[in-house]
Amino acid sequence: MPDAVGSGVLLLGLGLDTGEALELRILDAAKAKPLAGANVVWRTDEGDKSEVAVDAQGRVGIPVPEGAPRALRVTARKVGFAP
Amino acid sequence: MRWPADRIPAQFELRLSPAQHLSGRVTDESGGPVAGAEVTLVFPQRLAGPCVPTEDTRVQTDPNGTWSCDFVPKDAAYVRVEVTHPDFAMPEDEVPVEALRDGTAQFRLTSVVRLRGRVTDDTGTAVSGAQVALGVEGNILPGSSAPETTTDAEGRFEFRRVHLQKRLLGVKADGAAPALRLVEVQRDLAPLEIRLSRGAPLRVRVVDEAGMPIQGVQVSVDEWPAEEPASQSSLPGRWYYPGWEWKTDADGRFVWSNAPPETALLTFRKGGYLSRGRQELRPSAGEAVVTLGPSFRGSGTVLDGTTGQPVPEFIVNARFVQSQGLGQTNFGAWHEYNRRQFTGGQFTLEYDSPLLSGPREMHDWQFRVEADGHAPALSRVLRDAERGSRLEFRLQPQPMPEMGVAAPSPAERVATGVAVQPGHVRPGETVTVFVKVRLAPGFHIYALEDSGGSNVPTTINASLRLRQVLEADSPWRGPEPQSQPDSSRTLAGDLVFQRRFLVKDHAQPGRYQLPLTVYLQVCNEALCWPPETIALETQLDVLGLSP
Repeated sequence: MPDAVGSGVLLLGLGLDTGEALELRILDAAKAKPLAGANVVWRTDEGDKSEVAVDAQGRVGIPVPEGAPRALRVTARKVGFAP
Repeated sequence: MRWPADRIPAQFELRLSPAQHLSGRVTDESGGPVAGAEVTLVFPQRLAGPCVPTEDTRVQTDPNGTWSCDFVPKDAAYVRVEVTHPDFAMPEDEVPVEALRDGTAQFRLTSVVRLRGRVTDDTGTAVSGAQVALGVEGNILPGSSAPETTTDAEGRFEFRRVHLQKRLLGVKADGAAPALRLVEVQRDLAPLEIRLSRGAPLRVRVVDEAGMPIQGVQVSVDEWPAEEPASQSSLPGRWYYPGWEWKTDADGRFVWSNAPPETALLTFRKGGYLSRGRQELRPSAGEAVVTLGPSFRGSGTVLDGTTGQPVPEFIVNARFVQSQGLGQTNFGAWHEYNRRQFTGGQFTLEYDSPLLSGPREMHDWQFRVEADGHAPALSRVLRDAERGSRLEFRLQPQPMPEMGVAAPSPAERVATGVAVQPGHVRPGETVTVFVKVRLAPGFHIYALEDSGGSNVPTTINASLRLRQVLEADSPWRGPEPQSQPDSSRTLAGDLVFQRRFLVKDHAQPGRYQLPLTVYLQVCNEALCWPPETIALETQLDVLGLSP
């Protein structure tokens, strides 16, 4: 599994070991400031899905699910913003 | 955005752009709401990196037909809306983004339905493998406007997403006569029941003029039923080129075993014979006989009427001639597609299709020869039986038209004029356009094409207005240029360029102004003046089609 791919919103081919976490930071693109109150959903290509809210700094840690999936799709949403 | 597996960052920043609220309403033709329509918003995406996945850009309409979304970035350069629903066709109108923003955007869908049916024979047994075509209201013409399908093992067929309108349905199957049915497509239309009849045999024998059978003649149906009154048809429309074809056997025969009762138009074609098109035939107790004559061949010579020398290049055109009794004669037009070009004063002609198709008696022929610098010549009318005749044309040289170009002066350097010959023509005939260029002594211009090196070649351009009436039938021709030591090819003195044009078939009678431009660069031994464009204009009278 040589590569990781970013796409819609963010699709990662994982090279991380199981149990590691990808730290994601959600920003307001217009103001370049952390976006509190956003929700992040991530889904594996096996169909597993989890959702968590970011903290006041717009941060969230995404644990790599068990079984080392090939890819992880991450979608961040907040009312008033394009995902 | 792509990373090697060992360089995936432990942290990543995802930037969300402010979004805008867009909404609209989807209705049917009567303005009623369409619920459950899928609305897809299409807007620019990044070429790389995070993006909005397509499945996240769709919403559905609610029971009131309304939809809204909050995922399109405020700064999107464009927003396109696609609306789909299984019972409706997609609207094609663009909606301004302002209407999406203020919620007034309306999408009016057009209903479509599934058209289902079943084909049976005259005993009620399902016919599998029948071909079903769905034309427009008045006819079926193979192509994109007439989708086709085939019945399944139970004789069933289906067309999806058919608009609510009248359509002509055609069915053909082995062992049965074809059928045509006018269908008014509407919602909740019950499956159609198409019952095919056996039809009756249409027996045809194709023979030559000696009555001998011709094997291997290709026979095809052009049209069924034939136009009224020949067909005496009560059918609701017409099926063009339905694909029914046969080939005659060793006895020159073929049988359309299950022909419909109405008259159809058939074409008979074989190499070496003059084809017969649009022959009206219908089933009968006997056998119809179609006679094919040999293809029309002719040959001859075209000589200069003064010198008796062969004319180096000429055109032979043909038209039909019909005697209509009481001394009336009907002459066809000189159509572009009947023209043939020859060189060296000799020609041989072969036409394997009549110039006038249809069920009439074979027509007679007339030929016209045209050549640059000569008046055109007409042949006598050749009876159809005179196939193989030799014709001799003697073309009278035609003096060049007077162009009245004043002699140039050292100050003027160049003077030009234009004329067309003849000044009045009919569609299908040709004219020659002459352009005269007079250069003052000591000046030259460059050759038409190969001007040598980077010198500016002389070019003559027909305007768009001229090309609406005339179509070039030869290249521009002019005097032979002089090759110079510096490899340039020059022209000097009084020069005449000419080009033959064909008067287009659709040219309407009337007087036409014919503008042209001449682009040239005048030089002398010491220097060259900037290239210049000279506008010229002449006029041409186009007459009606009658001879």
